[in-house]
Amino acid sequence: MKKEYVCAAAAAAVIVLSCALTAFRYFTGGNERYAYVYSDSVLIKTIDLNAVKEPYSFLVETKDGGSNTVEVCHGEIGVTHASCPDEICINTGFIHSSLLPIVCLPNKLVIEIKDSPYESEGIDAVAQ
Amino acid sequence: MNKIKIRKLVTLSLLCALSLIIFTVESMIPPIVPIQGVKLGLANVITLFLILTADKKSAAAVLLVRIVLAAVFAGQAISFLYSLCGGMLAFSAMCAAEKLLNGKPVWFISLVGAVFHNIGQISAACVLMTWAVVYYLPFLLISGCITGILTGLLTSFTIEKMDKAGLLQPFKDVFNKE
Repeated sequence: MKKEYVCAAAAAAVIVLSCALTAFRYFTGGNERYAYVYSDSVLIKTIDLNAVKEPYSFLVETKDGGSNTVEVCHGEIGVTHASCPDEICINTGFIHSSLLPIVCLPNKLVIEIKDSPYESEGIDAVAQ
Repeated sequence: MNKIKIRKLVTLSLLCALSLIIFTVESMIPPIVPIQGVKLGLANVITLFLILTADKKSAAAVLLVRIVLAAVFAGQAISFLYSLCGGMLAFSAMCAAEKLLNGKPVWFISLVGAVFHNIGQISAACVLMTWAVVYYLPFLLISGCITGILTGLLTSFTIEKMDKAGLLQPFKDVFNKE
């Protein structure tokens, strides 16, 4: 019987910790304005979202024929069309902070928002 | 001796087919949450069931065959790598948890499996894409806890009902009398 309680406590701890981490990132972030668009782990575009006056969109294509249409508005970026069947990247909607990047797994597209206009050294450099 | 071997082979093949059916049907359900990697993971019921009632070697075999065949049916080479990383990590974690806890509570072993499946997937995505996908981990851990408990309860109900119907013992016999 006691074992069940320990297990329940461990599960609760994981959930609480995840929630706390997300809440922390939610309340400390929000000032980011530079969108980084990666295709197949390569940085293809950096956009200052606050400098965008007129909304525009561009196409990102992969080597094997997949494509995503990325739309940029003032302070926001999102995917409006994708060649993949699940379309999770479209349903993620428009993002305006670093809380959750847009990821399209089949086309290996990642859109992330950071607070610096230059790619930071360190982990990102190591990852690529 | 030979008879038992054939029975074991047939049983494992059936379970393999069953987990593939579960996997295929589940993949037809449209994603509810717009976050990559959030899914019910119902096929894990078969893996967990085998870990608990049969032996770990059979469970690993069924899991591996399922991952490979699922990738063939789904036709996505990238998702194969994610499921392989997640599946192997989840399997090892579930085996360790099962040994540590002596097989109970089932829902917690399943939860450990789900959480480690997500960790494995995110690690694979980090290596294959960018570090930014790490931000998905808290969301996936929460969803992993919920879906893990659900599939774990499903597994324990299955075992309970099979035991009541007298089907569990003949199943166990296939694996123990080798």
